[in-house]
Amino acid sequence: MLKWVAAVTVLLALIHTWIVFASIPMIMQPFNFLQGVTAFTGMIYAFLIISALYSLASDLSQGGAQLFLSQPISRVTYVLAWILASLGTPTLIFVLSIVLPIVVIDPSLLYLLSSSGLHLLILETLELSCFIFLVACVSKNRGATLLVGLLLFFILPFMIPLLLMMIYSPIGAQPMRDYLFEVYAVFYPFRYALISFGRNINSASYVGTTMLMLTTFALILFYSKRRLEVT
Amino acid sequence: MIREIGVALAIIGIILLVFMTAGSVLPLSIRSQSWYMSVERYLLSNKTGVIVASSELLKLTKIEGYSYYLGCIFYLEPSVINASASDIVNAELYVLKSADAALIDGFVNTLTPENMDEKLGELRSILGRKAISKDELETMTRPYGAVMLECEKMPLHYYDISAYAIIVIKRKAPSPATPPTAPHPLFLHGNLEVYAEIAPSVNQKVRATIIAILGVLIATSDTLLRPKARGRLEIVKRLTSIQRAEGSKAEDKEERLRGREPS
Repeated sequence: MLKWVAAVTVLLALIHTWIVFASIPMIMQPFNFLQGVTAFTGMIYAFLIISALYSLASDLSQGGAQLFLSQPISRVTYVLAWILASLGTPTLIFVLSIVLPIVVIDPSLLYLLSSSGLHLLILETLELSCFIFLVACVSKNRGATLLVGLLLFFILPFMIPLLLMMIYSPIGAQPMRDYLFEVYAVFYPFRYALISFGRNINSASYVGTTMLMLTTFALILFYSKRRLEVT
Repeated sequence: MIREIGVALAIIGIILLVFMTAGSVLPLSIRSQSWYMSVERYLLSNKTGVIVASSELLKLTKIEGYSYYLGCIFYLEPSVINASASDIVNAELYVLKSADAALIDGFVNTLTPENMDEKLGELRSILGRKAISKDELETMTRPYGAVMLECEKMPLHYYDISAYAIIVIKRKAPSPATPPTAPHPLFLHGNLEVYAEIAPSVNQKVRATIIAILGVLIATSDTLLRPKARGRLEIVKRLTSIQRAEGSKAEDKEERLRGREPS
């Protein structure tokens, strides 16, 4: 894990430092500050989370969890530790790799992050990661975890808008198309903001995404307390 | 987890420090903005001509360690101005604080062919130092006959600016056969480009160093201060690998007993 973290950090820090250095003088257009770059580096961040959850599935299926749980550790503590390690650490590293270059250049420029959509990206990634975490806990299968992770992060966010645009005309009022895009915005708020060219996400989508994330988190805790069996 | 965060912090700090040091040795120049300059006023006769072009308002942000430079390019179509590169006797680019832009407006509105020289003299005395003049411009004739005026890297002293270009043409050999035409904006392309040069300050280097040191401290303290926990983790890892090896051995044995080749 440490090697992965180091490699990903080098990559993220290099890209973000270079982009922050180069785009800070262009802050006449703050509405999309770093948004294009984080759309790309967000995939690296998602990949780090998927690889951590793959390790969790390995741990659950190959006896590692059994050995840990033979110590005086509760299953909830074990699961919470994995949430911190697999979701918390990559998130912190990703945020630090963007925030620290700005802090070093000029801390007063941190306000620019409000227009970068960073909060949407993190909300979206955590919401999807909680779901993959649940899949890893329930299936205890590395392949299934990897497949769901790749599907949720790398295939569906691109396929859904493409399909919607193929089915419905992009021109004119189309209530069904707009409704389906609203649903898409709940699952993928950052991608939605990106494809709608910075159009504001309405507060219902925010609440929807947050509720979805909290519900999945509660399900993880419930499952780990009542149903989680390690073999 | 703490060790991972410490390592990440150290890596980010070191990369920032490398960028800062590289920036000090080889100042990095980045093209940050580009503005189109549109023709505001023109006066052309068979012998002389004045073209005044202005840009939109430029707003830059003052950032520690960044200095801004202005570059410009103008293309003058020969079919319109009926002049060559050597006919351009003067081209001046004025960069003013936005608050002073009214000065040029006054100049532009009262400019006539008769008072051209007088008005230019007045303007120069009011504005004082101009950003560039003919000497600093690279004037050349392009293969297709257009005249190109180019200037590079003038330091900018203001962050809220308006730019005006005044190009004075004096034809050496006026040609009455070709009457002067009004320069349509399409025949005078003017672009301003702002470059940002990064030369990191001491404060920025100190901040990067603090981040790198903090990361190294967190990573090493986690490794040094919690050897017991790490030891326990190693034991668990070894036990897991032993268990896996024993599991596969038992499977092989079972396969042999069944008379099959172990997988």
